[in-house]
Order: sequence, then structure tokens, then C-alpha cells
Amino acid sequence: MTLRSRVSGSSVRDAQAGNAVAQESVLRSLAAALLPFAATLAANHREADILVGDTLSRVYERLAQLEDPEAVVAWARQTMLRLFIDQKRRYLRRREFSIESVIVAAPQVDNAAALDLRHAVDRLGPPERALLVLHYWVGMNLEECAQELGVPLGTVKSRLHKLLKRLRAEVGGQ
Amino acid sequence: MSVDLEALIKDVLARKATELNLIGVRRRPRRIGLLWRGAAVVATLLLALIIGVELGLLREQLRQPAAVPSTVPTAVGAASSPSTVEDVVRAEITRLRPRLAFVPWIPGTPLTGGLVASVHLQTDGTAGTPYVLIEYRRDAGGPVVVQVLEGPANCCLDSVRAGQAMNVQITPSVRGQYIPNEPQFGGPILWWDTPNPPAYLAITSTALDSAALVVFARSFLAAE
Repeated sequence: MTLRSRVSGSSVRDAQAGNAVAQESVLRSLAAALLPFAATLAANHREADILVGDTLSRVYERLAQLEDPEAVVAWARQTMLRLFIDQKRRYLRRREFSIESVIVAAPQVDNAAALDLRHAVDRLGPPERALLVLHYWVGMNLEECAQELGVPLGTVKSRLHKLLKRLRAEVGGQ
Repeated sequence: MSVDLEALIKDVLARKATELNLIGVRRRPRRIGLLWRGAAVVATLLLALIIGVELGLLREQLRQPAAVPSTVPTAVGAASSPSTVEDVVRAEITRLRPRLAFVPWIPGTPLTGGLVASVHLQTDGTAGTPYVLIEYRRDAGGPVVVQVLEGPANCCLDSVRAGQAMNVQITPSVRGQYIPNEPQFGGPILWWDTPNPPAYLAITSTALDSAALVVFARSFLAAE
């Protein structure tokens, strides 16, 4: 699991009670926790920024309905995943929050296959990219992926099989 | 060709995950009231009127023949103004180099995400040694989010208390010191002395974490 950042249950409860300082602190912590996840899902940094902003807006709007304050990060991550997959960006027209990020490019890879793979990953459709991120970056097993994505286990298995076949072809492997 | 595809996927996703660093969360401003909206409309109309008058005057001036040949000096690089943040930094450092007693270093990794950069010459009050200060901001008037200080080798941070700093390998032969200051005290500092050509470099930031600072530090190249 890569989303290690913790948001304390007590600050979430304070935020739910309307404490503006706690709300700001919770949203800032969530933004920091969600940005790496958004970066792996999105094809570019602009898309990642928008995705985090949309997610924070929805979390802010529905925070009072959250029953288990300790589960706020997982809840926010699931919210982000749904927003990413449905791609409707309903919150674009009424986004309450936006984030700003700065890119520090990772050192250049000297591996052509890694470059090809990165481009191939960025061209995948949202459901395929989400599956790849959940399984290989978040570290979920296929059953957890199926649950998170709301599809049957068989679908996840066949989707991953086709996906790997396609990516292998893209990077020149057999 | 045989590729460990799953390992490669993990590596690609891990790289993507570390590229972005959070600067801030902004809340959309509340809707302004009717009175303020009216005031804003009046102000906009006034501004448009003033601009219109100014443009008219300017047009009149342009119609007049020039009294003297156009020998007015232009800003450095105005003809081919740099377009990216890195270009601005590179051009400014190159311009300042003759005034420096050391060879300055230029960041190679782009810091993007809407940052603007400015480069200044700063002079030490006692020794009169000129330093280079590169400042990155979110917008022109905003607070500095990343700052780079460059000076002659051994010039600056050499008396950090033991246990306060951590050793960080910048390159196989260059070791830097990382001082984990809290953001309210300006953020962490990463500093190191370059061996060839010798210089002192320090980066401090309220936006970058330690890993990002090291990536940024590794990208510096001596100005040719």
C-alpha cells in the first residue's frame, strides 16, 4: 500500500463539526496523500492536479456523511478512483478546491523499454490504467482490485491478461 | 528481447508517483455580493477608458517622426526573449557570470507547474563577495517556494551543529548535507560544495521533499 499518509480521526471529527482550521488541515493532508496516486493514474500533471482538486471538492462536500473518520484516506482514494474512471468531471463546473503542484522530473531513464512502457501506460483507457495502478503500485491483489473497481473477479483477470499482452507487445517483449 | 514487464510497470508507476510535489491547496473565492459586483463593473469601465485614452496618446506619439536615431538600449535578451523557466535562469546566470568570482551552476531539471523564476546577485556585506540567488515563485508577487544560493566554495553553511544535518550523496564523489528544517522556518536545506569547478550550492524549499531536493541537486551543471 503506497498511500501511507495518515489523517487523524480526531481532526476529521473536528472538520466534520465545522472547524475551519481542521478542515483546511484535513484537506491539505489528503491532497498530499492523494497526489502520488493521482500522478500514477493521470497521463500528465495537469490532469493529476485537476483530479486531486475534484476529489477534494467532493470530499469536502460529503465529509459530514463519512461514518468512520479513521477511513478518510481510503474513502478519498475511492472517490478519486470513481471520478477518474467515469471521466465525467462533473465537478469541473463547481470545483471548490484546486491544488498547485510542482514537477521535479525523475532522472532520465536509460532504458528504452521503460520509456515505451510509460507512453503505452499513458495511452491506456481509465479502467485499464486504474487496474494497473491498483495492482502494481498500490499492491492490491486481484480480488481487492475487483472490489475496488466494482467488477467481477473474472473480468479483472481477463482485463489484466489482455493488458499485459498488449503492453508486452508495446515494449517489444515476447 | 526479454523484459521483466511487471518489474518495469512497477518502476514506471513509482517514477510517475514521485514526480509531482504539492505546493498548496486553494479554495475558490466566495461569490461576491451585488454591490461589489457593481463596483467591479464600474472599475472595469474606468480602466477601459483610461487604457483607451493612453492608447490614443501613444498612437499620436507614434505618428510623430523620431527626433533622434533609435539608440535607446534594450533589455538584455529582448530580441530573443527566453521562453521557459530554465531558459530564463540560464540566460540570467550567463549574464551575471562575469561579475562572479566562481563558476556558477545551472539547474538542469525543469521545475514546472506554473513557477516563475528570478535570478539576483547578492553581495556579502563584509567580504563583498557576490552570490547568485535563484528564486522560484508560484506567481510574480508570491512567496518563494524554491530558493537556490550559489557562492564561492566553503563560503557559507559550515557550522551546522552535529546531529542536525544528514549526509546525502549528490553524486558518487560529492556528498551534501541535508538539514530538515520545518516549512515554517523556510523548509529543508540541501547544501554541498562542488569539486570541479569549485562552488557552494544550497537549495531550500517549502514545496519539495528530500527526494525531490536531491533529484533537483543532481541536475546542476557548471555554466560553460
